[in-house]
Amino acid sequence: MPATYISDTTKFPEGLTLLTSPTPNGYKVTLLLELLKLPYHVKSINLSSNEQKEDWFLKLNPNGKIPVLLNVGKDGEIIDAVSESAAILIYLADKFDKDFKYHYAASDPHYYEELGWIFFQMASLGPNQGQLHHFLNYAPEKVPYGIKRFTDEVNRLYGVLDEQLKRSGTGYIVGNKFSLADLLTWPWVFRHEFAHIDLDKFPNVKKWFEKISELEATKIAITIPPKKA
Amino acid sequence: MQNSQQTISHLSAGLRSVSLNDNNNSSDGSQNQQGQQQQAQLQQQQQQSQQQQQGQQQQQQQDIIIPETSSRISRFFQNQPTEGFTLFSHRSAPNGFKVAIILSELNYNYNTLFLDFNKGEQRAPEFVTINPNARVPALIDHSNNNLSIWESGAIILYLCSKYLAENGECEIWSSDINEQAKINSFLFYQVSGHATMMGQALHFRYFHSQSVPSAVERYTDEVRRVYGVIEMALAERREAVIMELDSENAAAYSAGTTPLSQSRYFDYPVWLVGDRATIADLSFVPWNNVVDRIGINLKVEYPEVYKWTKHMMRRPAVVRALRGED
Repeated sequence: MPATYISDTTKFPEGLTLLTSPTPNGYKVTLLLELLKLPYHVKSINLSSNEQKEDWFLKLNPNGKIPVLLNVGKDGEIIDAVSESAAILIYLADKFDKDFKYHYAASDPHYYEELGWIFFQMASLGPNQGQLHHFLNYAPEKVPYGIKRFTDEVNRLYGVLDEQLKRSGTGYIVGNKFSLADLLTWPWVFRHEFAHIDLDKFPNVKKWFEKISELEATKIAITIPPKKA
Repeated sequence: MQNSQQTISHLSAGLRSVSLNDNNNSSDGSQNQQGQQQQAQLQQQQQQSQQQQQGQQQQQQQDIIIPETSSRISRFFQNQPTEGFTLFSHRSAPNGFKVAIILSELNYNYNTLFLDFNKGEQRAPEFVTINPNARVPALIDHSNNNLSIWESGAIILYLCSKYLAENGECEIWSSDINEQAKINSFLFYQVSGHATMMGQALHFRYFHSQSVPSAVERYTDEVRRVYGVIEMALAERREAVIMELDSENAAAYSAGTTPLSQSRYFDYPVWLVGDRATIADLSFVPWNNVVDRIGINLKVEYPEVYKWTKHMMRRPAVVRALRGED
């Protein structure tokens, strides 16, 4: 289902609108939306001009970060404005993945394993790799200790993920299903080169990464929104 | 690998003397004094930490032999309780106390096993089986076939879903998907944006051998930004509550002729989602309690956050949990 781009931020069309940018946290949501084949609108947010800190945006997410998912009613009223990528995924899965194709039911013991890996990504892998990106690529001053600290930690975390994929033996992080755990981890591993991570050191992660990269939904998800020329 | 293990012990050693009791009622003077005491304790701990670190390195060399201390963990796993919960925590881990607060709020029976990182207990094979990331907290639900959960946020959602299924409602969470999403947003914000940045601020401030002012500034600024977001959210709730409950004076507040601070509802508790304390609020408490360590004074800089924290610190369940009472 192709995303429809919008630019008016004073009134949003009925249905789902994703405020997003071409970043790992944005791709998590476009990936689930594509897998679920849901119709949705996209408002591309220009991070370099700090569009996410403009008043209209802060009203929807006071933290001023993408992604934000809007669920808009018939008359343009905003029913829900959900921020934090994992909260958006859980919201979408609860509402639209009623057959549990991409997540586990609360009654399934795998559900809590899935939650563990969701929080592992949100609280460890994402933030640490984000800091590594900063120290490697953006820091105004070269801080060798910062680079070493986060390089070591991110490598350790990839090791934890590699071990889990080896243990599960299914090609997926939790159980025998492509779940939210895989879905929200993949976009960060997608940026491994930016973090100078050598995937050859993590053969199980590499195999898993390449398999998910081949999915049609993945190929589409990483083009939304397009990077600026 | 070795480096990251040391990182854990550094952070935890520095937080060891964290005062986990309600000291918000004391005057500014005594808080200052306390701050100085904490500072002194912290320096002492840093020294201890270095000593412990040496000890730990020796311990790591001995790891090839089965660590003597893993036997305590092994014994536990060989003979697990048949009811209640076991919480694996650490005396100075805010995320462990975060889970204790939720267990306590939900009135669940639990025992806490405080792991000794200096003895490498978090790397005991049985523990790594239940937490592949080898960190605290982790939880075992003995009444549910010894089901284990790791990551504080995942544990909290597990407990709330369980409570909701058993009781048909869960006051500190919600039975409504839309409200759950609002609460979950703050929960994820706390684990990914708040705790992580505070952890880095503490690390670069106290546990790093050479000074990196730009890193200290980076993480302290980010924690300030996070509290600014929470302060704004609470201030908006405050204004709404005053306009609603103090309606006879609402016109004067709106016109700006009377400051909101004169309202008798200025100290009335307000919450991030809805009109009650939820896990959105409670997950911040154990971290708010140590934020003075990175030079942030909630009372002065974030008055709504300060009042919000004070209200939570007075809840009997929170008091019990922070004292380390099961």
